[in-house]
Amino acid sequence: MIWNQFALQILNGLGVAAILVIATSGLAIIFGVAGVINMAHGTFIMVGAYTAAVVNKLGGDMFMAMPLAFVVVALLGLAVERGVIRWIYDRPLETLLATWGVAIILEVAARLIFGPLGLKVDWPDLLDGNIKLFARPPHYPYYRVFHIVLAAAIMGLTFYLLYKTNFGLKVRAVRRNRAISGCMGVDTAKIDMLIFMYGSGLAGVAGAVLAPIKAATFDMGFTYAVSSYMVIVLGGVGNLLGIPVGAFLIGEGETLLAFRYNTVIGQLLVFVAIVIAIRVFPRGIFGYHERR
Amino acid sequence: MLRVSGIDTYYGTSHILHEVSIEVDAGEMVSVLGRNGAGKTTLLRSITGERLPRLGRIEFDGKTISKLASHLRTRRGISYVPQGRQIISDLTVSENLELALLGVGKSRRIPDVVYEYFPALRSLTGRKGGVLSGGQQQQLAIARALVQEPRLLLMDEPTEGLQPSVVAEIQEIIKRIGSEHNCAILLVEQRLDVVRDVARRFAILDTGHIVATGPIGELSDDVVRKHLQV
Repeated sequence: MIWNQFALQILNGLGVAAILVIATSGLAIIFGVAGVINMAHGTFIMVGAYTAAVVNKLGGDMFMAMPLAFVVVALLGLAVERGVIRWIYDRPLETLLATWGVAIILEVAARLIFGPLGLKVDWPDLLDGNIKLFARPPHYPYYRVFHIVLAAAIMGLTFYLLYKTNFGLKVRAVRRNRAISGCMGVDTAKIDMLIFMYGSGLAGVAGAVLAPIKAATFDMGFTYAVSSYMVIVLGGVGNLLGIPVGAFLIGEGETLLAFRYNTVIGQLLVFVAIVIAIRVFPRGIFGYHERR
Repeated sequence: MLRVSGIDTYYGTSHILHEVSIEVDAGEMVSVLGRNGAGKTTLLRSITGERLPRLGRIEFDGKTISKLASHLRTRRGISYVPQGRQIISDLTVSENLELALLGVGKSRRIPDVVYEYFPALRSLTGRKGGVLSGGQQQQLAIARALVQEPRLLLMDEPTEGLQPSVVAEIQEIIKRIGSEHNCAILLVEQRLDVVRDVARRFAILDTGHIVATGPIGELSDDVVRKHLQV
């Protein structure tokens, strides 16, 4: 029985890690390529969640909301990038403050439009129920399996985009050396714009998928944004693998420690572990090192 | 082909280039010399578009390119071998070359000419640029520019920090590119023997001003003593 419980906690940890991957990938890609710490990332997730809520109200389900949330938030990202970020790319403090300002505006707008109470988003019928992994309960819910599959799909798609396409080659070059990439004929401004759209769109998908867990609320993004920053700090941005590995360590750490002690102690211990990890890996576990 | 007319370039409030003018004709090889900090690299960066001049004009093929973005200048036929090589370190040798090809709208197929000039690169195609030796990185930096089939090649100290045998190799490569590809070259170089061997004309920069120009035969020891010795 105890082994069943332990195995279930491992699987639950995987589910939490999957949510972290879904929530973090957009932020990590924008930070990794454009060098922008997007403080509006959490509110982009929130906009994706409200998109799902609206679709839900109109009779659609989460699966229909996901592509729509991608498009809506990608366009929002385009507007922010063209309207604000592109003028201040080389100034990290200003981009931080500007995106924070965008976050405040979006949060206030969401509160004015949708009110202070959360909007419920239903699970699609397809994800109701559990997989019977063991002879006795508790069983593993379908929606957690869906999160794991989606996280793998997002990582797979992003890997394909970055490592198997011409666009990805340009993105990786711009990430490493913007000025020289431009001198080699790469339109770096266009790459920044497209990657900002893609990262924002992923945040939208995250919002649509996460909304059924707790409901869409105007302040929901903060928690996910903080978790996302932790994943990036731990995993590092030099390598795409940093996202799933950072998410896995945090997800499993929090879940198993919460199982052994309680949720608060679990989160506290993970946070302490991250601080120690930063001391050992200042650039994150997959931070890039080169010959000079 | 290239006409730089009275450009003034700044880094923030630091005034680096003062009314600098220089011309390079089609197929010609011109060398820019100067002490450290004279503004040689800034001149090349002004031409690539990395650093936009505040005053003056840069023309290429009779068209003004002073305000054009870097990538558009490259697509018009200006390629750059930067100081310190600046290989994209986490791309492989192949990917560095493919990126250069994509940058000018070509397919990713690496032309054989690269391996004719640099046979050593053939066995390194899968290696990351950041782990190559200095000489290998310099070969890759030149190959990267070469695959773009430029009409004007800007080279910033391509022999810097290399051992003598590699310097001689690079020197020959520069001459070959100039003659076999009918490519104009604007070469920033500290080694006088290299400059005297490859260039047809020279210009000397001193604290951001052009202080001497002429055919390479006029680059006498007196001129060198006056403008280049510390």
